[in-house]
Amino acid sequence: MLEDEVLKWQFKCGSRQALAQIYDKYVDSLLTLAAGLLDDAHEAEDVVQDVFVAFARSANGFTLRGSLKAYLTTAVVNRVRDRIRRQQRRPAALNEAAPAARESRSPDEQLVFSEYAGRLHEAIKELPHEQREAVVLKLKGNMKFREIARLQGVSVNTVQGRYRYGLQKLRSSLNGEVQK
Amino acid sequence: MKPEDRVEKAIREEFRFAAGSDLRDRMLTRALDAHEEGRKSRPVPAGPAIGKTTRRRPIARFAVAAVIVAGLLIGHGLVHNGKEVAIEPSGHARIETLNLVSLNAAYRQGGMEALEQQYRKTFIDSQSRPARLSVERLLTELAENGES
Repeated sequence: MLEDEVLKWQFKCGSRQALAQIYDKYVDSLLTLAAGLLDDAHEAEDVVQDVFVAFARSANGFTLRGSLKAYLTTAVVNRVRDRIRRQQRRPAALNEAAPAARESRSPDEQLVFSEYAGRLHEAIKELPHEQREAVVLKLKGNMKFREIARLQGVSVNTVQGRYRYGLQKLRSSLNGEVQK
Repeated sequence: MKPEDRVEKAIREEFRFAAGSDLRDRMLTRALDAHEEGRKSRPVPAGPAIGKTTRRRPIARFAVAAVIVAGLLIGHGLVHNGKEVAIEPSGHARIETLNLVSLNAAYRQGGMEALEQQYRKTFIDSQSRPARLSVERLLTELAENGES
């Protein structure tokens, strides 16, 4: 926490090193978060890239009183929502062009994840977006129900319900697959 | 608190994605480039628009007028009392202010001719012309004072 405060201050003063440290510290957790919220896990790179580019550009007028992690998490959630909205408006053919280009890249240029993480992702994909957000933000963003409720613009009870239903569905779809 | 069930534990511990080394470097490079662009396009902070503020706000106009009157009175007093002003060697700013006041007073009394004499006496003869004070600045200042 204190480390983040120092990083925030250095970043505000224009330190490239602070930006690199913030990136190193959070890039993987943000990629995981974005992958959990998107159907195509590889799109997470674009979302996280956009978040960091916007964050880097904001250095001049950067003022943040709250937690850096919460700020970046919210930025990822908002970008994901924008992307989903855009995809819903866009024809399917255009949506399929990007994954094809990604597959031709070397493994070092791609997202790295275990086979099991891939299976969990398949199960998470089946959830309605609100439930998915509640589960992913709670378990991967380490957010409190209160914070998720604020982000989703609903009551805490509603978020708890979404989380509970989401877990139930995951339990049934991962039945027997979850390691004991 | 309820113990975490297996699904929660699996997602918390096993659901992890990371960037491959090249992807990681590429993303960081773009972020650093964006940071550099942001720094270059930093808007030049506009200085306080004193002139505009002075013209628009009555209280500021009043304050400026009060300062000018005070300056003139001090300058007037210095000239008419005929006393030599003992200036401590410390504080160039104070010397400049006093010089400015004496020049201002000279101009008010005798116009440009008196101003030139005073300027010569103050700076050229004594070879103590401060770097920050030029004739241009002086004339600008006098012109502004004359307008207000």
